[in-house]
Amino acid sequence: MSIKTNFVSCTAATLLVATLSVVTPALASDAGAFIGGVLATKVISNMNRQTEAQERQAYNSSRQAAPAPAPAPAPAPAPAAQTPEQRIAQLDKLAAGGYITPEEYKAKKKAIIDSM
Amino acid sequence: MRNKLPSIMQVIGFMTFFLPAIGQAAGLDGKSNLVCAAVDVIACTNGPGCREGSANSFELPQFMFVDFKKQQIHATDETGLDVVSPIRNSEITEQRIILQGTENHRGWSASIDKADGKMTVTSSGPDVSFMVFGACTTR
Repeated sequence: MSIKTNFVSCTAATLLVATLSVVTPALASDAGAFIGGVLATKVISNMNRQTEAQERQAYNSSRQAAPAPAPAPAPAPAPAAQTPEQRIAQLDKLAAGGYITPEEYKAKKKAIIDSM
Repeated sequence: MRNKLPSIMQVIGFMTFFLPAIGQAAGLDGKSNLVCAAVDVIACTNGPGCREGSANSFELPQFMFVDFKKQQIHATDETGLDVVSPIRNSEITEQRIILQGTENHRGWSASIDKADGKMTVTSSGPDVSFMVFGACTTR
């Protein structure tokens, strides 16, 4: 019984040593820094990544929670409708300035009078 | 009362003789090399605050190894590169193994409980300070 127990213990110990020798890396001569190197870099880069992710999430949630964009400002109100006299007076100015032909003047004036 | 006295003496006797033996059985004597597993990480910056998570979520090496003979802590990164931290100062007290070093403008300190193997590694630098919690056992 004792021999058997010792055999099992020795086998387990051998297996453990063999496993650890596989897991344990052989130290290279050009080894880099561990705690102040790889470990610190991993921690800092993961902190930055988490911060960015949180900021992105906060930004997305704020966009979802934000109210709908305000409607575009209403167009400027149309100028108040002119009276036929004002329209004819404006037409006179355009004719006097040579902006419209006499035929056009007549046609527009007729239209204004017809719309009354 | 008289009946209790022997039992108290038995407890004291047990603590005196057997508890140190448990620590010795674990081999955490500051001489035998150790293999340590990182479990949790807490990292703090000067400004926004702290982050905590599993060592896995921080993508830390799964195991680190304490080599007392070579006076170094080493591990393997994800690319297979061996990375090493020389132990500049070590102190073995009755309860703990304290290891210290400096690297890349950072200081680090590792404390390992000789009784249960619980490990804390702290590293402080100009930008971020962090703590790694885990456990060690003899190799």
